[in-house]
Amino acid sequence: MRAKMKIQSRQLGEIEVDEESIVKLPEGLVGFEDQKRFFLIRRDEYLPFHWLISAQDPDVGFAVVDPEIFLSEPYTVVLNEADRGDLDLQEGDPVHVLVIASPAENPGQITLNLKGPLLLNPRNRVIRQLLVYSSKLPLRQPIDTAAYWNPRVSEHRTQVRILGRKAA
Amino acid sequence: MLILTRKLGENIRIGDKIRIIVLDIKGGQVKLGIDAPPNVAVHREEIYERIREENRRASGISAKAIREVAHIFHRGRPPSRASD
Repeated sequence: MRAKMKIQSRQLGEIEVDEESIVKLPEGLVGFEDQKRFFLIRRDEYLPFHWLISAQDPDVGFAVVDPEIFLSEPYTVVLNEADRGDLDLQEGDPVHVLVIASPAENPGQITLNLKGPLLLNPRNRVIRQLLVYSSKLPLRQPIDTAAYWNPRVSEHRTQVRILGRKAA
Repeated sequence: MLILTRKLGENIRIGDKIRIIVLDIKGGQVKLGIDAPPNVAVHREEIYERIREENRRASGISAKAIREVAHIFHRGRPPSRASD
């Protein structure tokens, strides 16, 4: 039987959560290193966004989304051996990419942080935030709500390239 | 702060798992090699600071802002997309 509980979140108000929605962030997020367990919350009214609400301090919360549907360009994350760290990723493991939404200057608009994506290993429910050095990927990507009307977008998939152990 | 002077090719050890090697010195730049366990995050400070600041901003996002974007998204969503 699932252990359900109610928490009071600054952003979402009182919400019911259950243990099974917990994700682990062994290193926290950059600047939030102490927050190591979050609820990954799905609510219809926010989809395609999910919420990450800290299980330790429910006043800490982030809106996250698979960026693919909002981008007209493919988004590729390259994961090197060191980045695999706590994710315990093996070659061929499925991995989900989420990015964090930030408020934009104009009210009602948001941007997506493509420089600090979150990688989720669904097998062990571990998340790690990656720091991307590529200057091509912005810290504040405006969302392109038109992107998903473009049929070509369905050909793009957010990709994760996992680099193998050191090449000989 | 501990200050050490190292020559090209010399190392610094931090604990028994972290090693920093001076690989190259050219002009005003030093190239360092860092051996550290996978669970130790090593980053250039400037990008670390930018992501930290953006995470802080992101934690201030409101449910309303996300609901509005989600609403626009669903209102315009073509039915064919369901086949994904």
